[in-house]
Amino acid sequence: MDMERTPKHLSYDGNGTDLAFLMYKNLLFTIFTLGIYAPWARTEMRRFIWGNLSYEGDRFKYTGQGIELFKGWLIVVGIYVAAAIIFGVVGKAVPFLPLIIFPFYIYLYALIVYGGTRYRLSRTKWREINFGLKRDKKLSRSFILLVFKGVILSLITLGFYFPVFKHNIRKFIIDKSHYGNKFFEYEAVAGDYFLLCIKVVALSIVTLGIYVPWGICELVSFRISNTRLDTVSFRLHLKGKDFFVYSVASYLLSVLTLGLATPWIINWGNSLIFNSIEVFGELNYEEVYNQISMNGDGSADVASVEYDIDLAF
Amino acid sequence: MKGHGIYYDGLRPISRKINLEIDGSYLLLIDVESGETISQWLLAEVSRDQDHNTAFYLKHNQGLERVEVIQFPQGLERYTRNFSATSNKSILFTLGIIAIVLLLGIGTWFLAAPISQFIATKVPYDQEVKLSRKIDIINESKWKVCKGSNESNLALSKILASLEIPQDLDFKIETVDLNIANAIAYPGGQIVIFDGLLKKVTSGDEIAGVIAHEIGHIVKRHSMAVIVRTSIFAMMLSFISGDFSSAFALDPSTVMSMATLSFSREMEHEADLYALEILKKSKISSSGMKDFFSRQELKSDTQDKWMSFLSTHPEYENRIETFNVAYAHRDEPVLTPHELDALKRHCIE
Repeated sequence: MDMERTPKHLSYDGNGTDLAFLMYKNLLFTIFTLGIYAPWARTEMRRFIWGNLSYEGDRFKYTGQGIELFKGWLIVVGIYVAAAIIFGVVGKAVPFLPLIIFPFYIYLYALIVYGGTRYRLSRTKWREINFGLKRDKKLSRSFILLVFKGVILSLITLGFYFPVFKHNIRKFIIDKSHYGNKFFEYEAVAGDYFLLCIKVVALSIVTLGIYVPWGICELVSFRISNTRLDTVSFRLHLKGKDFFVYSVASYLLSVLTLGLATPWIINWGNSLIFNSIEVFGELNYEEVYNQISMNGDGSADVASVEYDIDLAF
Repeated sequence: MKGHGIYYDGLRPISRKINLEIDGSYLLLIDVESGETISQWLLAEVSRDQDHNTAFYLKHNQGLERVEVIQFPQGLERYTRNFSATSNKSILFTLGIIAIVLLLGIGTWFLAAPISQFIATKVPYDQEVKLSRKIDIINESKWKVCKGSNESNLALSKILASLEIPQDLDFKIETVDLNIANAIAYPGGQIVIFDGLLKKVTSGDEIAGVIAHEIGHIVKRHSMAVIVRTSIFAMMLSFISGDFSSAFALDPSTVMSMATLSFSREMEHEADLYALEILKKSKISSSGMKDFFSRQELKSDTQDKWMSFLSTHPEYENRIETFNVAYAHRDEPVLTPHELDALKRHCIE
């Protein structure tokens, strides 16, 4: 099999049928093993998606292992069971227990967001060079404080602060993310993002939801176009109407095929988004060197999936 | 024939187009542009990079270098055994998991009943009562409770007084206006007798036997055992679907829905045996129950007999056999004909 090099934009060339075989196999194995196979299934899915994504003709690579996610899953289940028991036993004696342990939830949320992103980045390579997310005690403390501040202010402002909170998290994490020894940078301003969110929400309400695909495109485009990697910048040229067509078509396909078309829908979505990401500028590859970082454990990644927690990207 | 591919040194994000050649026991990586040999790998130490499932990558020992193989060089096929995407260890691991799961599945199937029965007996009865009180099953089902007349209520009380049941047992009996010849024991000691059953009985002894049977379910904690057993299977299903958090969440209405699931044949037989013991202690004849099941058996046709094989209730024959026991009992039935008649009209008045 020969492969052509493609310049200056990300390229996703996954095949829906291949993905379908993989997903149905994963589904059967997962059912047959009562869920034990799920971490390996997730790993294979990521390998498929990463492996079909390329830049300048070279594929991305996912180096995570199923066993890491499985260990992480055991930890998450253990914590969940312990929490359920504590709630059941102590909760009766202490009526305000949820309020008392609320700060612990915020702390956990911070760990999951940072840890989950760190895990996925550290298991991503391009041209055998690792991505990563920096971490040390000082950074961890700063991030946890940032999350606490964001949650409390969001509550006090009845949610108005939330877009700023999300922006701050994103900026913190992206600014600490790196490819090899080169760091990413998030250049967006909180105020601009806040105004954009207000616009998207307002228009979505006024149009009874029809504007949502355009809104999503604008938000994702804003995030991508404000992200840099050294001398490289990015842009998403996905049009709202393309995303709208995708949203409606995927919903109808999913319903009409009782979900059987899901692999093709996922593949189509990946193709639509990744092929729309353009890359401007070039890294001086001679100046980039590898920083091996297999950091982060799978538990944060597992928790982010189980509880559907949005990671920074 | 030369092969070709792309080489990554793992130190810098620079890829190089290379030719691949086999030279004895070595794989040569030759830069296409300069013609220089970048590296030579001992074939015995070359393996496939399993982190890629969309293209074929080779690696050398634990080094950082990688080669994406675009075209295999002639001769490399001899070594493809080394490049199998699925190693023997993976196959063994998968087979091991399947074996464990099969064992777990078979074990769960056979052990679920005794394990859930054991767990049920460890749950304090007052907790079961508390749980059941959260849901008013009769109102939820929109059934009409029969208040009955003084006479019919007295008749019912007379039956209860004649039964030698545990004094400290917390239970209550309701009669509902529904034309079903059945009675059900819900969690927490709630017994519901349907009007259809009252209409079918021909003696107070039959009703006494039915009540004793339902009390048997309560005393043996069958409802709690069904809840535990169903929860075990629901938990397993949650794990399969990956939503493990739902495995630990059971709301009261779900619990009560579970409790309406039928008891197993073994449970029904156990309740029959308990009822027989109570009837013996109370010196009430078991012929009432025998007659009741004999009449039911006569009414059932061939299709019912086939369905009874699948049903969780023991077949009528077995139940008749259970109650076909001779022992000393009072001569007169529990209720007089007049009292029985009043009870049969419990839901009319």
